[in-house]
Amino acid sequence: MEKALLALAASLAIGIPAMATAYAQAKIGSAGAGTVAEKPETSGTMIILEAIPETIVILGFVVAIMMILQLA
Amino acid sequence: MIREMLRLAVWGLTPKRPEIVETLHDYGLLHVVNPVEPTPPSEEEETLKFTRAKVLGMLEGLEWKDWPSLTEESLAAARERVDLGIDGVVVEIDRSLDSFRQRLAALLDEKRRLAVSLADLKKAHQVVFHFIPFVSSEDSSDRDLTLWWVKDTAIQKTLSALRGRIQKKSPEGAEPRDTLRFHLLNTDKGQAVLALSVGSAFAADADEVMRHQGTVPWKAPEGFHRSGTRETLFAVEEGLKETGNRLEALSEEISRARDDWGPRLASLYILLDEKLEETLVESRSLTRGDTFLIEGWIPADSLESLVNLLKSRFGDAVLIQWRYPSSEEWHRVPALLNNPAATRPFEILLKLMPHPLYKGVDPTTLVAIFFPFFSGCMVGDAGYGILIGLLGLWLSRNTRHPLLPPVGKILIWVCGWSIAWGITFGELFGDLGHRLFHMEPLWVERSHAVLPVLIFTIALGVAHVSIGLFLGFLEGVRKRHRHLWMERLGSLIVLLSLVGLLFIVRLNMPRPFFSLNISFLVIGTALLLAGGKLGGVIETFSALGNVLSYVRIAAIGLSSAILAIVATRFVDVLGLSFLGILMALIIHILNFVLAIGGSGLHSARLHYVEFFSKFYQGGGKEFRPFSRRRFSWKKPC
Repeated sequence: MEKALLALAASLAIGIPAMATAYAQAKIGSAGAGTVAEKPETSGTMIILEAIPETIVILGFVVAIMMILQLA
Repeated sequence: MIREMLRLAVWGLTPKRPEIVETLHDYGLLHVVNPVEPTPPSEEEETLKFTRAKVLGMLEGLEWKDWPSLTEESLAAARERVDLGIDGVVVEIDRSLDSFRQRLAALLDEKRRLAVSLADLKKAHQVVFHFIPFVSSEDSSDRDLTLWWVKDTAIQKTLSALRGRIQKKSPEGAEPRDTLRFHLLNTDKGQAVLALSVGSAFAADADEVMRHQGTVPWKAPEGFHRSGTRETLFAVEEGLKETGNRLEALSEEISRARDDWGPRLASLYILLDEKLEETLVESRSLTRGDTFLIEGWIPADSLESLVNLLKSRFGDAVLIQWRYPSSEEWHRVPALLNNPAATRPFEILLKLMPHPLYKGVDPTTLVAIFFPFFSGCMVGDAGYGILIGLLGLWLSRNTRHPLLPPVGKILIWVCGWSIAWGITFGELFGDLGHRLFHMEPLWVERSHAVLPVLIFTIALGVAHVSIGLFLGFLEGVRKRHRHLWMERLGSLIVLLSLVGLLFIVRLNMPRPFFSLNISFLVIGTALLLAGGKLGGVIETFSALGNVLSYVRIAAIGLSSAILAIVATRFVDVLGLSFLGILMALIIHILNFVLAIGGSGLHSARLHYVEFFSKFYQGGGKEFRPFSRRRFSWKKPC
């Protein structure tokens, strides 16, 4: 039972941030596409803004890996 | 690195101005600064702009887009043929262009007209093709043939009314079907075309009934209507063939004109553009009596050759002055990147960022070291590395787009590191190398040993972010920006102290080490607070987040390794069959595309967000030399 809960926690640790990041990136991406169309020189800034939410998935991934290693 | 610049002032005698400007244009390394406010355009400028726009319009009309095919030689030949130095020549060219433009416009108009006519004829041909057998069988002097548009829902009602009228007018005992014959074609718009054949005596009655029922006579496209229905249908069929042939001939004629005139017009466009640039520089130069002044920025190492060139050509007719820019005007000096050929392709990665400042840091060399290293670590497969190398070789020799060769060269760098990491992780198309050649990892198999790779990537992050912070510290010192260097140094010390603390606790090191480390942590925090106050502390937390972000190298690498193994497992499950190999191939291709896209994107992100934010300052001016268009031709906007 404990193992099952750990596995569930690991999947939630990466799944929830992944969904949140996807939502944020969708919003930033559509706004960014409009901005780049108007001002192509903002491409670099837009890539940075688009990439910022990804960090939370990476943190989720680290937590999930920690849990899975405990499971093993 | 960024090239040293000099402020150059060229004084000359006004009569020599066009030649001096042309020489500077040929030399192509002076970033001209206009000494006076732009004046309203002169008549010559207007004429040149108008003629240039006309040439561009004709190129668009011809649909000629082969700009990369223009060579230096063809342009030099065009320069010799066309002398744009005299106003009269431009006017003469303008006249010749007008006559060619009229011919071209006539051809294009006819092409458009024929295309519309062909579309109408194609629509009508459906009817012609369907009714020709019926019309041919009914064609005789005592029959009247007509074609009508009828609504699907009104066909029965119309035919009944027609039969009724014919029956009423027919002699006793005569059957209407002997007189009335018809054929129907259903179209897809709820309408049908009805071909009616009635005896000549009933022609007027049939016409009256059909019109009364709200039907409309079918008409051939304009210009193809003939006296009889049969003749009209044959005229449409004939017209379709003729129009098609004429259109084909016209397209060939335009294509010939495109091949003949496209390169010439494009060369002329470039020459006019160059002439316009020279005219603009001339008109905006500062004139004082019989002398003029042109000012600009020039790379310091090119000064001697330019001075020698101008002196040898114009002797005492020019006076040249130069000086180093003062620190107050650094922000106005254009920054020209100067990197070795091996690392120059990585300059394209800086194009997405604001241009670096003159006297700022050019991070191209560092990007050239770390970008392929990170990308290669994410790909981590010798097989994929070889494929990336082949793709890179192909792209680096492809000159269809100016961006392709540098991208190709970057991929060749990535190939080298991918193979190196592939050997380190023992991967060749996943575990295929192990299965076929008993390939063993030099370090760890990353699909099994996740933790060591994770720790390694965090160490990479510490090193990369620390380099960024150190560069930021140097920038602060060089620009005497106290807050900047204190904050960056503080962040660096705190970051390294925390890492040291981790080691000391983990390795149970003696107490003095711990005390020393805590001292550094205190010094770092003090510097942070002094440099950036509370914002500096927050900045350090963000630097810690940045370090963790490098875990993505392991994460993406892990997913790539597992996907490659899954691809090979398909052959295990489905056997060494066509389906098994096909499935493995599809997944490998998918993984390869993800490996290239993902590794490139995430490696770029690590540089843009985590690394550059520590030291990079954009907002500089790009070096735009007053030069011939040589290999920088772009499709005109």
